[in-house]
Amino acid sequence: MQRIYIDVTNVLQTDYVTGIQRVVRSVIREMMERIPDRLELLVLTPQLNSFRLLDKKLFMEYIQGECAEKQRVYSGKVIFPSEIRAGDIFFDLDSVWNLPYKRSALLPELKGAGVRLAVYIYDVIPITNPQFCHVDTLFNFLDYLGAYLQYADVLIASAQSTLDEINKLIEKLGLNPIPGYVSWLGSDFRETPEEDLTNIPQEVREAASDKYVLCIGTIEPRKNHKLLLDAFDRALFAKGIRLIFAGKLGWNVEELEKRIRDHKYLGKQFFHFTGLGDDSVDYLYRHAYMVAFPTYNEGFGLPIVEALERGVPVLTSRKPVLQEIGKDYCDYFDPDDPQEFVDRMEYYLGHPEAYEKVREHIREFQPFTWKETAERIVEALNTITNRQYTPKQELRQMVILSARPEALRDTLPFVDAFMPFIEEVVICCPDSMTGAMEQCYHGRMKLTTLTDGQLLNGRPLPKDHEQRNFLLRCLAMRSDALDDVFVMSDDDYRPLGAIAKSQFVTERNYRAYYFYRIDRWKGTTGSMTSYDHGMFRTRDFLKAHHYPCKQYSSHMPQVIDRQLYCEMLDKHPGMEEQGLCEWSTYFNYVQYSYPDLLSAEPYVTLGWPGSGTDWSMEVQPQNMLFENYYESLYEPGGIFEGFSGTYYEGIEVENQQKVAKARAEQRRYQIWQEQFEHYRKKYAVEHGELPPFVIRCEKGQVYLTLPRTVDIPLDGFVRVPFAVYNPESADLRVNYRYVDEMEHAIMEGTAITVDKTDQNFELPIFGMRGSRSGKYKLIIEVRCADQQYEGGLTAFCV
Amino acid sequence: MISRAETEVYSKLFHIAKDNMESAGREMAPAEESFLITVGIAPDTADLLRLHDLDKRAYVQAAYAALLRRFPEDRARTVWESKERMSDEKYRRFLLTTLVRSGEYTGKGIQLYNNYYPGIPGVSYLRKIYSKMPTKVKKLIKKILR
Repeated sequence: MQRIYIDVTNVLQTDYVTGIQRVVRSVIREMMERIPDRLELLVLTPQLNSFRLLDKKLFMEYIQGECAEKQRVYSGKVIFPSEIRAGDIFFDLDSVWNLPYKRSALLPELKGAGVRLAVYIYDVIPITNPQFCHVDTLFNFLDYLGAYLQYADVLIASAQSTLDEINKLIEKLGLNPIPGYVSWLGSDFRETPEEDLTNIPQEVREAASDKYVLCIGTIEPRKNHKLLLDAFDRALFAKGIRLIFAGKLGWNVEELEKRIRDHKYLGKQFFHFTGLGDDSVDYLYRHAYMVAFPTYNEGFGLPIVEALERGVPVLTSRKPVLQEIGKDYCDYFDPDDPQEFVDRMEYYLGHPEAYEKVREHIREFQPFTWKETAERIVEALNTITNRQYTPKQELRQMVILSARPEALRDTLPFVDAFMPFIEEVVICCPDSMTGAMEQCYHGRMKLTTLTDGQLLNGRPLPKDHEQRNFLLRCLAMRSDALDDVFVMSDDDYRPLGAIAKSQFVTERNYRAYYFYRIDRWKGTTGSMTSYDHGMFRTRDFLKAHHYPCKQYSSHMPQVIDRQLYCEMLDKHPGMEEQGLCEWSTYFNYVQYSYPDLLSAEPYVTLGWPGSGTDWSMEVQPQNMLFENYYESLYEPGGIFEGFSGTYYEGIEVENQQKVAKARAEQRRYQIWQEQFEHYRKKYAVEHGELPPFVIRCEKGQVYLTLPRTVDIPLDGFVRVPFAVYNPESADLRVNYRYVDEMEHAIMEGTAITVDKTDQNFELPIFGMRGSRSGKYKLIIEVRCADQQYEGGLTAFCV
Repeated sequence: MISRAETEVYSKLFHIAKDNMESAGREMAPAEESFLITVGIAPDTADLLRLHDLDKRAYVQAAYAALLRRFPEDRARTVWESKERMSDEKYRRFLLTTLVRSGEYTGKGIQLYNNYYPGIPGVSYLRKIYSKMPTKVKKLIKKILR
C-alpha cells in the first residue's frame, strides 16, 4: 500500500486558523473519509530533523474540536525522512515554507530514499509580486518553490492560472516539466437561519443596516483596500453607499492604517471590523449590496466564492485567476483605476434591473466543495502509481567479471559448496585468459567464458578500473549467454555458509543489499581511489535523475534482472561510457521505477570495509553471509591470521569463528563511535556549539581551529570530522601526534592527503594504546606548501 | 549538500523575483549570496564556515538567516551598517556574539557548527560562567548590557 505522508506541523503549532490551515483541515478531513489507511500525518520534532507520527483518530478529533488537548494527538512514534519507504508519497499541503526544516534540505533527503513528492501550490505571488511579501516569507518561499520545482513528481495548483504561471517558471528555469493538476479550493458555506441574530454584535448589525460595499480579508498592500477608500471618498459616500472592511491589519500598511483610523466617517459611513466570528462574516456577506475584491493578485480568491454562494454580486480585479473562479458571475475592473470601480458601481446603482439580473444569474453558481477538492487531489496523487513487475524465479546462473584466474580458483569452490542453485558460472574475462579461466575450476557447475573482445566488438577498453568494469558489465547485459535473471558477483566474493535462493529473490520481490548513502560518501580517507571517483560520478548521475541514493556496491553477490538492466541502459543512452557503479545505478533505478519490486536491506558482508579506519560505518551488517576476501587480513597481524584462505570441507565452522571475530571488532568500533558522539553532545551542552575542527587555508596561510578538549578511546580510534576552507586548492596533508611535557612526540599518526575539492574529511586518530588512561597533549599538524602549522588540544584517553 | 546545478536553479529563481521586485519599483534587500547560503541548510545546525566568503553586509544577513532563521529587520540592518568601520574579524565576532546571546537564538534550538572564532562561546557556556560570578559583578554586567 502506497502511503501518503502530510506535514501538519503548522496546524498543531499555531492556535489560530489561517486561510491555508482551514484548507488543510478541510482537505485532510475529506481525505480521511476516502483513504484513511493510506494517510500518515507528521509533525516536526523539537530536534527539527525528524517527524512525530500522529494518531490520526485523535488528530481528527482535535481539529473537529472534540479533543481539546493537543499533546494527546501524538502516536509516540518518530520517523526520519530517510525511513519513509521508497515509493510512498510525501505530500505538502500546508504553508510549510516557514518551517525550520527547509524543503531545499528535506526534499533531496526524501528523494534519496526513493520517496515520491507531491505539493499543493496556492499561488506564486512571492515570485510574481515580491513587493507584497515580507522578506522572510519571500526567501522561505523561494527555497520551498525552488525545491519542489526540481524534485516534485506531481504538482497540484489551486487554479489553472496558477498552474500556468508555475509552468512558465519551470520553462524559464530550464527544468523538466512536471505533471500538473488543478483542484479548486472548496467552500465551507452552510445554510444558517437568518433570523438568529444572537451572535451578531450590535455594531455589525447597525453598519449593515444600509446599502454597503463589503471587502473581506486581511488588510495588506496586495489586497488594495486603498482603491476602495479612494472610490468611497471620491463618489460612493456622496451616493449614500457605505463601506465595510472586515479583516485584521496585516504587514506593511502603516499609512493605510492611519488613513483608516483618522477617517472622518469611521463608524458612521465607513466601518472596519476585526476578529469577527463566522456568523458575523456570514451576516455581512448576506446583507451586502456588493462585495468588492480589488486585489492585485491572488492564488484563488475565496471571498468571490463566498459572496457568490450567498447570491451577492461581486466587483473584482481583472486578473486571470479571479476571472477563472468568477467566470461571468462577477464584474471586473482594473485594480489601478478607482474610477472604473466607481463607474461600475454607478452603473448598478443607476440600473437596478441590471443589478437584479446579475443577482438572478448568480443563483446558477455552483461552488466547489471540499469533497471535490479532496477527490481531485487524491486523483492527482493516484497518478503516482508504482509500476508492477513480477520477479523472475529461475535463478541458476552466476556472472563474474575477472582477470584473476587464481582468485577465481579459490572462490568458486565456495560457490559450488554453498550455493547449490547455481548451475552455471559465466566468466567475463580478457581474451588471453580464457584458457586459464577454464582450467581453474572442475566441479559440478558449468563454466562459460565471455571474452572482452566478444563484448567490446571493436570498442576500446578504458584504462580506469571503474570505467572498464562498468562498460563490460553493461555490454554483457546484451549478451544472450546471460540468463534473464542471474547473480552478479566478483572473483573474491565468497559465501560463508549455505545460501538459499530466497536470499536473492522471493515470490514478491528481489532483495538488494546496500551499505551506505552514496550522497554522503566521502571516499577512503587520505587516498581517493578509482572506486571513490566512480562513486562520486554515480552520485551525480543518480541525483541528476532524482533516483534514490543508496550505495549497493556492498562487495557481495547480488541478483540482476537483465530486462530491467537493459531498460535502464535504454533509458540513459551512453551511460555505459560514464564509469558509474554497476550496482548502485541499477538498484536505485529499479527502486525508483518499481518500488514494490525491490526490498532494500542492509548488507551482509564480512570484510567490507577491509579496515575499520577506512570510513565511518553508516550501516552495520547484522548478519554476515558473504565474505569480501582480502588476502592481507589473513597475513600475520591480520584479523584472520591463522584461518584458511581456501575452501575445504567443513570450513563453515571456521567461517563462523571469523564472523564472531569480525563482530567483536565491529562492536568495538561501534562503541568507540558512540563514545565520540557522546563527547560531541556533551561538548555542545557545555559550550553551546559542536566541537570545531576547522582548517582554513587563505592566501598561503593555514588557520587551525580546534576545541580545547577531545575524548579518544585509549585502545581504539575515532574518526574526527574536519571542515576545510580551501578556495585556492592548496595541497594539504594532515597528521597528528601525542607529545609529552617536553613537547617530544610519544606517538605519531599516519599523515593523510586532503583532496583539493574536499570541504570535509575525517582524520582517524588513535588513542594512546598501551599507555595509562588520562590526559594527553594532542597536536594536529597541517602541512601546506612546505610549511607546517600546528594546533594543540587536550585528549582524554580513557 | 546542494549541488552546483541545484544552486543555479535557486539563483535563477532569486533573479526572477528580484526583477519583479525592481519592476515594482522596490529593492531586493538581502543579497543573492545571503539567500543561497540558507538553501539546503541543516534544520538543527548553523555552519559558520559557509558564511566565510561574504562581505560585511551579506554576512549580517546570512548570520541572521543561519542563526535566527530570519533576515534582519530594517532597524537591525541600520545598526549593523553603522558599525561597518570595525575590522572584519572584530565585526564578525561582535555580530555573532550578539546573536548567540539573544533569547531568540536560544529558543531556536540550533547548534553552532564549525565556529572558527574561539572566544564566541555559546549560550550555555556563558550562563555557566555568569552563574558563578559574584552578585556585584552580575549587577554590573546587567547594567552594561542595558
